[in-house]
Amino acid sequence: MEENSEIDRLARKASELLKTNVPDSSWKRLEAELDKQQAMRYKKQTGRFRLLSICLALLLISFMFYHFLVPTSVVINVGDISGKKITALQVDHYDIHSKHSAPDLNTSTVSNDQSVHASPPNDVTKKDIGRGKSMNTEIKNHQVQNVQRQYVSKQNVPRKNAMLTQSTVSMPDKNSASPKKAQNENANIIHESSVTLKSETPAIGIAETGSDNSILITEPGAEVSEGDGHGTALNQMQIDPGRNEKITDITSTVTVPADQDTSATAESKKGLMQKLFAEAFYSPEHSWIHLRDVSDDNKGIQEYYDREKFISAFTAGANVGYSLHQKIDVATGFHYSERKYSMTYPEIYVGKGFDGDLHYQYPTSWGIVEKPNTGNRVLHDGDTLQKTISCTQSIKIISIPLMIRYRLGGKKLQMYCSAGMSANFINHAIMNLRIGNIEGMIERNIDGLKPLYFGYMVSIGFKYHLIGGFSVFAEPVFRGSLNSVVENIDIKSYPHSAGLNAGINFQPGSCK
Amino acid sequence: MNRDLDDNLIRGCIEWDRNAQNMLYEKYASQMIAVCLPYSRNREEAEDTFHEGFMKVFQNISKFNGTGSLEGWIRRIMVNTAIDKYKKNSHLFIVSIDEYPSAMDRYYSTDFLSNDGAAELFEMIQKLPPVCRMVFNLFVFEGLKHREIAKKLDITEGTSKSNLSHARSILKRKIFENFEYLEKKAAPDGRKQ
Repeated sequence: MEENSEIDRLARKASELLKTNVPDSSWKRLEAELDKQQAMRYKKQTGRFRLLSICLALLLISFMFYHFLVPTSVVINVGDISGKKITALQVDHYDIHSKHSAPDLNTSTVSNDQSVHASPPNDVTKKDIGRGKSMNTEIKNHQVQNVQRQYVSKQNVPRKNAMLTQSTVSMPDKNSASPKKAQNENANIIHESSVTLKSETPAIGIAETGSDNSILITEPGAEVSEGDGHGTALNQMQIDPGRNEKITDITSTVTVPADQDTSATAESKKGLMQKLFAEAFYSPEHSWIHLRDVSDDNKGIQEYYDREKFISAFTAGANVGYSLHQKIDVATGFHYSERKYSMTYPEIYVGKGFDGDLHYQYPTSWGIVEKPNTGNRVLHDGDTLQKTISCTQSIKIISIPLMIRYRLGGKKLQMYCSAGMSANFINHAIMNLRIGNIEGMIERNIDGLKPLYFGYMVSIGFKYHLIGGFSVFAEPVFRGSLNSVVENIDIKSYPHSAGLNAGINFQPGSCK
Repeated sequence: MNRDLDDNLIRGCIEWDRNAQNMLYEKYASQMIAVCLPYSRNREEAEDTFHEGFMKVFQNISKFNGTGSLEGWIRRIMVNTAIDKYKKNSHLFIVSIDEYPSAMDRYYSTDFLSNDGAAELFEMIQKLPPVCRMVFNLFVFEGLKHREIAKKLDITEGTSKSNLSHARSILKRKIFENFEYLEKKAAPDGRKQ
């Protein structure tokens, strides 16, 4: 046992004494693997963002389609289908009295919709006429509902009215009936008919008793047939007192030609157009960067602030939006930004880049710009170039924002505030150098600069309606970044900017 | 102060800061390769285990909750990586205890050990049969009990004990054969001098 513990002690001692060298290739191998892992992590992150963007875009599109497909209110006037040829067979199915223009009917008036309203003669007692009931019937999608209507014929209908009545009762086998006979036949008859209304869309059908005891039925969304066509919703049907109506199943549809596009259809389109808007803007900006030191030796960030000066920045772009609500809009778009900074380096060091090679390095807030060693000079880690070098760095960014806007104010002048987030793709980075009389340019050779970072924006805007659907707007805006634009270097960098968006907004629905 | 440095390193590694990862590697690489050596058959296998272990360290550094030292946590990852590697290629190898002569009357001084001696001893450990090697390393270097070793290696306690005994026998024989400067120390009461 003691011997066993002696072996164990020997092994432990050997472990303490052993000095092992780690081969240089070991870190390179590890680094290569870490690069792969990092690329996969980015892919996952951007993949998740891409998925989220696709879902949001699909949600927005389907929301807009839903609103497009669902008619708001559809009411077609009787007059719109007047003049259509109706075969005798189909006459039973429908009654159109819009063609009436009988000026000698002293008790009737022709309305704009070409319907005829006939008032009952004074000698007809109230109980005999207009015993229709008001009913509000809501016809839901795909619901079939039977509606009972009752009509009371007038007694002692004057000849003129009798003729009117007869002319509108479209039953071929009864057209030979003499007015008198019709009158007698129709006297004191309560006609009942059942109407089957079938609607594919949410609609409300209303039957009301008018002030002149006529019955007005409004059946938006119902289907009506005419000839061989299929059409849109049903119209308003004015059933005058004393009129004999025979209404059967009106589940077939009517074609309304495009040139007779009804006010109801126009109404629904107008509703969608009012909800869409597009705008273009330009925004001069002032940009600055917030830096955070993450180096192990606390090198400090003050040298970055001392070295770099802001020159200019702007953002330009276009947005499209949709009104979710009376006061709330969502919008997305495409923005292009450019930011320029100047830097002055009193000396330049040689360092090892991300590729493992030695380069002249220009540390900036947007990564370490590396000048490839194109000369014959052999570089050593830590070499210094003792020359004052002025540089101009230009960063070009493409942003895809998603914003929510809350509107206040009236029709002419509106105020709104908006907030949103954006995905910012760093498209291009250029550094122009001047060393003495020599100028050079380094393009796309920056270590540590991420291709994508996320940002946010908040703004308050004012919009003034000009003419038609056009408005102008001005919008002070603040843009910030949610994560650092650089990685794997000694600093974390968060660019911000403040600007004034000014542009033109177009809302098709506002056109007069 | 060491703790602060480790905290900074951990923070940097969580953010996949390459500098922080490099510093962590530089700080613990030589110790950890020495941890991997006895668990491997040769230097190449040890470097593979070391590489895999460090990848696991970087991928899971956010899970280090501060309990215990960072070095101990990394060491545990290295050992577990070696065990996983062993399990993938494991086969039981029982050495008959009769094969090796007993060396009960030998006493060994640890004074003979230099860096070369330590390296040679490690080579001997590497040449042990796989299961003997794993049991010996876990018992001697990690200080685990046989119950714990059995659970880790999916063997019985009895197997763990017998393999430890076999590993010691083999090492004793090899030390006896290879270390010419060993002196047989015999004291009247058997204690080494």
